[in-house]
Amino acid sequence: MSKCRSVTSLLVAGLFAACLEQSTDAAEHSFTYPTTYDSGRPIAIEREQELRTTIPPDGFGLPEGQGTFTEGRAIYASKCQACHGDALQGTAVGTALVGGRGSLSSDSPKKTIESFWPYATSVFSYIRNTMPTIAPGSLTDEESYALMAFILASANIISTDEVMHKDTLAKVRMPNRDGFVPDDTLDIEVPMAGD
Amino acid sequence: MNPGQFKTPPTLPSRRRFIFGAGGLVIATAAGGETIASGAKQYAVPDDPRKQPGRPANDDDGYGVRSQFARTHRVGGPSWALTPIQDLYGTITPSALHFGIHHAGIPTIDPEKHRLFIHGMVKRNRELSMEDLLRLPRVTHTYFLECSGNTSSSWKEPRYNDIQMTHGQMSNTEWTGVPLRIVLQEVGLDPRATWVVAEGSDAAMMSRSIPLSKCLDDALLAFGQNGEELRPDQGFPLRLLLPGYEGNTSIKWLRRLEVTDRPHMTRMETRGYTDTLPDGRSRQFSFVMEAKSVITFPSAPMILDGRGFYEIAGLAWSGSGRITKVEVSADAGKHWTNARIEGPVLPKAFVRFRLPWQWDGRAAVLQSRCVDETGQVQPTQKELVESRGAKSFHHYNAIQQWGVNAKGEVSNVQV
Repeated sequence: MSKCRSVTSLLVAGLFAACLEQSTDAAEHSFTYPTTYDSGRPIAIEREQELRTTIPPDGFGLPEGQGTFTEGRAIYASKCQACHGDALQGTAVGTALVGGRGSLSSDSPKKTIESFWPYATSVFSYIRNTMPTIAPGSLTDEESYALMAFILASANIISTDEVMHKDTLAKVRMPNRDGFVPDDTLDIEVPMAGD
Repeated sequence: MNPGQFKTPPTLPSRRRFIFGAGGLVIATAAGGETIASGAKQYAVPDDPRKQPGRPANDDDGYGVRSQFARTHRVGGPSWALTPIQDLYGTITPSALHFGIHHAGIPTIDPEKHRLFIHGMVKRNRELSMEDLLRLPRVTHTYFLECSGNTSSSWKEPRYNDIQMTHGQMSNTEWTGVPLRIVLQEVGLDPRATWVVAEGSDAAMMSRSIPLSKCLDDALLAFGQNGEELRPDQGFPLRLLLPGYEGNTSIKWLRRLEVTDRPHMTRMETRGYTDTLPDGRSRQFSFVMEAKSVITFPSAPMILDGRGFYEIAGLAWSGSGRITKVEVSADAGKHWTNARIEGPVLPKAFVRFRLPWQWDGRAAVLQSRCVDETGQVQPTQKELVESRGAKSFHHYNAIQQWGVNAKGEVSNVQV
């Protein structure tokens, strides 16, 4: 037992000495955070456009392509109507897309694309990124533009002959465009499109 | 969560009887005597555990499971799960009980394939792997997360007679991650940049515009939850964590950060998480969660087991900083007594408060109100509705009242 102990103490003493030695060496190590980490890799320039999935109100990043009311009506019938209803009125599983104008100051505000959404670009991004919910992100840019043409015309925001593309979509003025106020605790400006 | 998601009252958890307070023994009995023991393994129970060798330590395949007698559980539906705050003892929410509100389900993500893209108004666009992120300096902090829709059912009347339904959209966690500041400094910010759009890798591509000042302050790229990897329902492998901000802005399954000079007005910051005012306009970018507290014991639908001593216990928190005071009233707000706040008192984190109470067996109305270090005082329901109207859905932080009747039954009241 005593032999064991002495071996152990020898080992401990040795380790201790090694530690001491290390701590002497430590002066030559740097224990500071670097100013740069050179972390990650550059994103290939051609991927930039594909990353722009949230389109701001001024339309920056809107893709090429276009769509019409008639094209949109056909896409809506096959991919959207089951949830949002044949008259865009909503069902138990999908929200109403039209109606509700003038209801926001009432006791039961009806919040639809027509009555509430302040920017067409937000609707476009949301549709293109997430719809239909059973196949999210499956709509092409052209299909998304066509659906915008169909929905906005159905909501009497544009006429049925207006073609939606990157130059026209951001210019659409939504009925509730001025219906939002930044929280008064926000210490930063909220620039709006066209301001 | 989104307005309208609570249209149908979900199945309530079993009526809890004889609950001896947070910090004590909890016995829950499900309707019809059925027991709930999710997350546990069932073992034969010996008459005398001293007379039989126990099971081996490695019987759990290397990941522990809870007791087969534990009953604490979340309640929820396909897109939401609520934390059983009435059954939790301290301030930390176990990862398996963290609340979750999901906008298109919980994705399954291979961390080796996951990437974080940082682009926009930066000098050097960057694509980071999880391996890259794990090489960077990290910090660990405890912060609460609360959905801005927490307690949204109480704007007009006490709708749910169950604290898990009223207050279950909040949790408190020790998070570990890389300060977002470090990564943003790496990519070289354009001096005109003022916002950052954060986007998740779920099917909702959940996205929010965040002030750059917040991103450079205490924001985290979090991968650790209570000492281990994030749970899938909390964003595995990577989430944004914005201390004190409404929960949805802490984007789960974080995939993309776009530095910009204006908010992108995503669905969730226009149609989604906005607060409609009496004149029909809607408040937008109401990020910070207000000072709030709630008594978790006793709370609805508990039943007190006769008159006598009870230790009132609850939680208080503020998105603006530390809690400095919690007061409790048992007489519908006529008199208030300072509760004992247990330390450490951390900014933007839950504190536990306690106060001894001798129940005389007569009807009582229990409530708590808190004050934070910025001087914010938790309002009454009446004060809140006066300032904001009753059309809002989010950011309800009013004082919660629990009525106790002579039978000891605790219910959700507004008196």
